[in-house]
Amino acid sequence: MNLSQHKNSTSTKGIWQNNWSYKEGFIIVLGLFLAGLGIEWINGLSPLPKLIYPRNLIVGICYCLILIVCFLLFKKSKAIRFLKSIPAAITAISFLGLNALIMGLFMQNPHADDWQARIAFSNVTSSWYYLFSSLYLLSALGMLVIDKIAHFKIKDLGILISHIGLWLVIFAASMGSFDVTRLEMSLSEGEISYIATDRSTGVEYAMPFAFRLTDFILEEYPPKLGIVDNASGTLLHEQGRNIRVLEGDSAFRIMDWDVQILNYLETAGKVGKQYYFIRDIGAPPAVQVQAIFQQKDTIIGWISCGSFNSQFEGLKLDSIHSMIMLFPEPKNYKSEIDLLLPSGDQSHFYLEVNKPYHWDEWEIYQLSYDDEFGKWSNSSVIELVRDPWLPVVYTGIFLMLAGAIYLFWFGRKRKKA
Amino acid sequence: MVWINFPTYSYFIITLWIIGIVFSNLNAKKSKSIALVFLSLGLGVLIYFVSELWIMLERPPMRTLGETRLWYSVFLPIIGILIYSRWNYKWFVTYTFALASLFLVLNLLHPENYDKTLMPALRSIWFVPHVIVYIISYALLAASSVVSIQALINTYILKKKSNIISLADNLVYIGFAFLTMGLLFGALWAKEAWGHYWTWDPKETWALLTWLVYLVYIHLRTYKTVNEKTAIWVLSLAFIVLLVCWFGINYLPSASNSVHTYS
Repeated sequence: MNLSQHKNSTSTKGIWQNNWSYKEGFIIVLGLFLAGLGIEWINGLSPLPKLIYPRNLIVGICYCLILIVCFLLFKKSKAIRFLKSIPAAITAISFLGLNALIMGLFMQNPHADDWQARIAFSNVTSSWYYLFSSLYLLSALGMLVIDKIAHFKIKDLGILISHIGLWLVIFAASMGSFDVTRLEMSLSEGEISYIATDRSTGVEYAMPFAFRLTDFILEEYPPKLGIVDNASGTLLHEQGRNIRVLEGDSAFRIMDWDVQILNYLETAGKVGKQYYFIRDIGAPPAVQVQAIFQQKDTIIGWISCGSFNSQFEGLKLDSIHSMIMLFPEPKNYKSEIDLLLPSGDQSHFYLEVNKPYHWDEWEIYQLSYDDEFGKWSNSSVIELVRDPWLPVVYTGIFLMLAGAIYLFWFGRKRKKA
Repeated sequence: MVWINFPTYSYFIITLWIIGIVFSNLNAKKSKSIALVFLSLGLGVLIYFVSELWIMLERPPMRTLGETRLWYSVFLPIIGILIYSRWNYKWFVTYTFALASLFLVLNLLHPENYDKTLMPALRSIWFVPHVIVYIISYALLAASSVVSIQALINTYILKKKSNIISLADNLVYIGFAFLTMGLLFGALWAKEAWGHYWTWDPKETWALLTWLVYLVYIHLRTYKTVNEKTAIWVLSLAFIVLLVCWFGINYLPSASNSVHTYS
């Protein structure tokens, strides 16, 4: 297609008269966006139709067929020639970009009920204009792909794989979004659980298998010391400058105090005014420090972050400042789980953050634990995810990666118009 | 306490770089080689500092904004040196090193203490590739925006024609390839860590927007006849979106519940 030529011709012949270009493209985008906004405004908060399997598959196949048939029958029409052109690509990308910009500027909250919710600015992915922009982009991408396949040239290989990849990702992610199941299950040590809850709807499901939590293990980093303002109670962390990890050096300087660690107990219990080493459920770390202010006043005392069953203790340094211990941060946590099947079969596995367990069509994740009890938690929350369209999305992702490597290696040959 | 020595290191590095920049702008016979020696020396010191930091922290120094700024200051000069030694663009090497120095100065103004903790969600084999690929991409795209600034100056102030936009094209193609990898590695990691490859977290949304704006630029540049001024403006806009995505997001109310705030 000759861009410079029809640029000239559109300026003389006016809009829609000749080959469609940027002007027409942006008018299409504006029209679709306004139409989407209008439907949202009139339709109020009623959601888009949900295309659950097999409806999404049928609609998807029909859509692909329509694209192919349009390409075969109306190859010469302005609309079809426009769809596979650069102006269509740029306007379609810009339209999706507009959706992303709205999402990026307005807090996304599907349960909101204000003017932003009225035009779906707080729930863009369920809006009509988002649907229109996806359809426009998919059609432009799809038409280009069909055209490049119909007139295959080896030099178009890079373009072809990256465009097919992106098309597959958008298509499968949108179509498949209706079939994604995400369920949460709470497990307690020693107990068998088979009831999972859908967090978004609150509906409970009885699963055809059960889990037994045999152990929950949480590893922690060493605790940190910090300074708080006595009046406001806020931590004066100064972007981490006034925070010290209890590890290694037993003496350090924090603000105007020279601090020396006299005693550090990883788990401790208090008897009278003194802390002693004990191993017990809920026994927090404790540390005895000596703080010297500007080489004059010396203060010695115990500090502990406390736990669900023992007292927190800070050390008052002067009328304004106190030294406190922050709760140790979790380093890693994992659940040891038995999977129990109706057939009587069992399997045993560990579940960790970043290390899901795959079973049948389910992906099982470590989600959380009982915060209040921390490393003494006897319960663990896991998530069960089923996404039958995932292989298609992954195919798209790997094609896009291949396209990226192609772009990196060969760059792009620019065309003379 | 590696960060405590950071001011000494950075003053030393910036001094070496300034000497290098001065030499690169001289027209003497050996000035290019001397410039390259000083610039590389400063870069070497910085890389040494980053590796020390990595060892001391016992984790990849890629968690906080300050740490990512360090990596940026590593990759930007590498690109500057490569382009300078290959094509001799003096202004390019000046800009890239000025930008890298600026990021070192930002770290001087916002000093960070070392913090070894790494939350469980970040303890993954995806962590290093995801961040490194992104920082390389950001550095390349920053370099391309440096070209766009020079192109704007050429077009609007100096009123002269230049062909430097083709340099921007090449930087964008490579930078965009890395940007795509960063985005997709992020998606693959998200599936491992959070159960879904795309959750429209504000950081993801802005990353997608950044990717889309550069995609517009690439498509704009398909045909040689297209108005170069538009392309230059799109490239400048793209970099602003990239900066919002990188750290502007920390100030956006819409992103207050992002899972990507680690600093």
